[in-house]
Amino acid sequence: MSALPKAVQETIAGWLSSGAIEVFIGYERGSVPLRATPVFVRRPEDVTRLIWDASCENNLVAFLSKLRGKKVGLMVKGCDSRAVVGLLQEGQVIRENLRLVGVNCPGVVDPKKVAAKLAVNVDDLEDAHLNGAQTLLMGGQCMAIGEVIYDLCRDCVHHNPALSDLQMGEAIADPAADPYEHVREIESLSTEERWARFEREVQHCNLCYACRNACPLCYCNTCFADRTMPRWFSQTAQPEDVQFFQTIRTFHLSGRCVGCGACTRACPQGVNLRSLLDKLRLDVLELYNYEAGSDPNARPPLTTYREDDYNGFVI
Amino acid sequence: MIAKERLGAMLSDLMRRYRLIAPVQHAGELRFSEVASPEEVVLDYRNTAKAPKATFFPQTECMMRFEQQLDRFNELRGVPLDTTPTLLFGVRPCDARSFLLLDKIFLGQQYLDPYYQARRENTLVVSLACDHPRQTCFCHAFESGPYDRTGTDILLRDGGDVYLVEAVSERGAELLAGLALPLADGAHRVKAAEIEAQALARLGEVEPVKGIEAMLALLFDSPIWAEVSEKCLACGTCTYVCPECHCFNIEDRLLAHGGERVRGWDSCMYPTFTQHASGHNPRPDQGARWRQRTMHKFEYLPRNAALYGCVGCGRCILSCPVRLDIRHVLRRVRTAYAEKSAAKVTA
Amino acid sequence: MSDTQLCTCVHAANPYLPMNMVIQRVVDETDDRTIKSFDLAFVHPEDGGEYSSRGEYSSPRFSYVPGQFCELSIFGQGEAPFGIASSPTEKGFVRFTVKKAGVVTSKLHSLKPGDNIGLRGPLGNHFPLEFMRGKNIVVIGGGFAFTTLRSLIVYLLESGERDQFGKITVIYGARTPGLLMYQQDLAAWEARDDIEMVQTIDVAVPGWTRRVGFVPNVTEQVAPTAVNSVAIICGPPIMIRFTLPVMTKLGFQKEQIYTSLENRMKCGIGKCGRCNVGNKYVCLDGPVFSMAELAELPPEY
Repeated sequence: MSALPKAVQETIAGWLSSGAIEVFIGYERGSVPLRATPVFVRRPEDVTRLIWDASCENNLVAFLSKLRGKKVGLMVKGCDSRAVVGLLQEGQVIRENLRLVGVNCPGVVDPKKVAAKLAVNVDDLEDAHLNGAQTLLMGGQCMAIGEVIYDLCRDCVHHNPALSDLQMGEAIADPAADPYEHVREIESLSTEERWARFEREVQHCNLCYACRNACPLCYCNTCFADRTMPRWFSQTAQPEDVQFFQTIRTFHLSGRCVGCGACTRACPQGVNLRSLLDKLRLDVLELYNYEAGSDPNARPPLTTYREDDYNGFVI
Repeated sequence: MIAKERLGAMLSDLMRRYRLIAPVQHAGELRFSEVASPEEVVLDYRNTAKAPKATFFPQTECMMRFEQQLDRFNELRGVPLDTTPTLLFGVRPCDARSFLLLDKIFLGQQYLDPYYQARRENTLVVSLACDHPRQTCFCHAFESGPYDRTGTDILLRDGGDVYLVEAVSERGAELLAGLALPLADGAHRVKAAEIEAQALARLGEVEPVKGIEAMLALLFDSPIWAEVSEKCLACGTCTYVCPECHCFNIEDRLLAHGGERVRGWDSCMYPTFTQHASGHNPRPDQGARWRQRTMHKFEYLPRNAALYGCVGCGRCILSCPVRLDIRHVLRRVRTAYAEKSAAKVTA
Repeated sequence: MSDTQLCTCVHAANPYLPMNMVIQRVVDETDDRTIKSFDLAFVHPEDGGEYSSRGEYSSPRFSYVPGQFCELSIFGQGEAPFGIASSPTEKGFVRFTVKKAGVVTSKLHSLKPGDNIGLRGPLGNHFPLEFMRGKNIVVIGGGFAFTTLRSLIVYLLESGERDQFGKITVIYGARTPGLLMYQQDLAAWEARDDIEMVQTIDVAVPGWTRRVGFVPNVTEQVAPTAVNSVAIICGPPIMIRFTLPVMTKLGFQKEQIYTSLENRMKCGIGKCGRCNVGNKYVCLDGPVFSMAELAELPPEY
């Protein structure tokens, strides 16, 4: 039911046989309900393992930095494709070495929302499963997938991939909505209130770096977090350590983060990273009139200098 | 046995003598926590998101403090050990079983870990037999099961409207004697047996783990490690939620006038875990690190401690952001071993 | 145990608590000043005792065997493991030779006589002295790895048991003359007739009258006998890799060759799970291993 259309399977198999790619990164059924798992397909006959449905949450672009220089195919949702744009801008991938199957994505299921609706813990969704493209079932209960997709998916304005070699699914009309609505109210907070808000948001972080590792644009060979000379913060996850890491990572992503949400979904502690990153994305939009992930030929604003650049923060 | 509706009163009573740590609901997640009142305790549950190892081995703990005087002389101070009498209540048999390995690591061998010892010696474990194993549970691969009594002081079994209470250790028997509970009657015993049978029936097919250590001994150079670790994000979440994972880091923190030395959980999944100051890293890629994780749990620990480093609780599978399934890794180990053996025969 | 000041009973029961040491002497061992030796003395004299974590004292003095290591604490920066460079026959100080590489060693290099650091130990196993009795000893070292070899050689010469060992041959090589450590000791050993001291550098320089050549080649030239001999080899991985075939050619069996491994360590007592090679912990089952033992372990170091 979630297997890829025959034509798509054949195209991917063809890429593999012809050597256009040496591996195709997609999704397959996993051991956990409502959650697909990434799969690395190298043999053409294995394309039958690939699936696409609302359980395909991971941003597979994060794996590209481990496959530098190789010819890779992968499935990209609207958000994921914008991360590919980012890597192209920064010279981390060569377009000719990529084969992208772009999926017009209406949204991915958030198991926490499903669990909340059913009043169970998120690890106890055993009998839940997707029932076609619209509904989800668990123990006799039925709900519309659209009601339990991630907030980010609900607010998404880029459902259709910006880049692809092959498109899957019906084109989805992007709503004329404000994806930054959830962070606009931060503008009205005082500095003290913003600091309190930030402190609260990151307090449960334990420096596991799942966010960094899941992020397609965190590809540095040696992350500042792993340096001992100098050692920027301690690994014992005291509030100051966590605040330091989250601040610097967020700023390192300014003008680069495409808002795919992989970090927020990967976080085992439920930290609302999306709110931090979207706030900076909003700042970049307002100050530099730029949104990452649209144009592979554009230069991120923090890598260029213009005389009329906003400089209100310069003391 | 004790009627379920009277459990709260019994716990209230015990809380006068013990700090009570039990499963509590905390913002959509079930976790082991100190409770202020028995109403907080949740016993109708599958398992917690994180293992109860933090009871004996907290995520961070201060090991010592040092004071700086006159900018030169550092005086070192120990810290008070946690000897609060504690009741760790409602753990699943898989988690109770996990304490055996932690005991061997922290209390056995040549050196005794006083921080772990203080907490462990002053804690009584009351486990709750598991009546609803999940699809991700594989305790039965370890010659164990949802009603295993290993590692606990007292076992509770669901008997319908009561819990049957069984002393497993001497300390458990002592506590039980003091509670003067009525003996379980025939009807409730039958009910408990029914519930146990239902629990066992829920367990799926699984390959026994026994013997995998011999297979792993031959697979150090196998290409399967790169294969099984390809989707791993190296986030370490599996090691954090695992009841058996015990690797830790020791770091110094500078404070206003001196500092402290803190122990904190660490993970073999992190690239810098084994990196030398020179930059040399004996485990330079995720394949090597996954090999270490698997070998440590399923070959080195069985050889050194006669115990596996896994109890089959399945938390790692549920919490992994890419849903890497350790059972699939073990399956791949078996097929790789079979391939290797076949190759030897035909060669 | 309450919040008390450090005393001997405290660290006997707690293997993580260091003993307080004071730096007596700091000496540059190499001309590029990246390697320094620190002589340490106990701040509390009663600390100088051998302890097990179960609180048993077997001797009143800090007592160690060549090959063992200690974890040195720079309070506020952390701990790192260092092989003991002094011999237990040298009284009144414990010497460590430290190469500046990371956070802890950099801070240590900035310390001066009178400064305090912590010490946990002695840790690990040691060179197989019992196995070595009655045999010829061949000591082969390269560069910075010579630290515990110094401990061994001084012990063999000064313990009053020199007659219990056969011929002692030492081959020590470094890139340049200025990078050979323990110059005073090397000169003294050269002058003795109960030890054959061979020094070598990689490339000839003016003024150097001794051998020139890599350690594996010089070892082949010196050709120590394998008959009734034990070899202890410590050096950078590449030196060991090329010296082993030479030893095999000379007739040494794996059981006759020992080395000392290094790995990243934290606890030093086999609990933190970091320094293992296969099912052995370098801090507990090592750092000294025979080649026969290493052949049973995966090559993950």
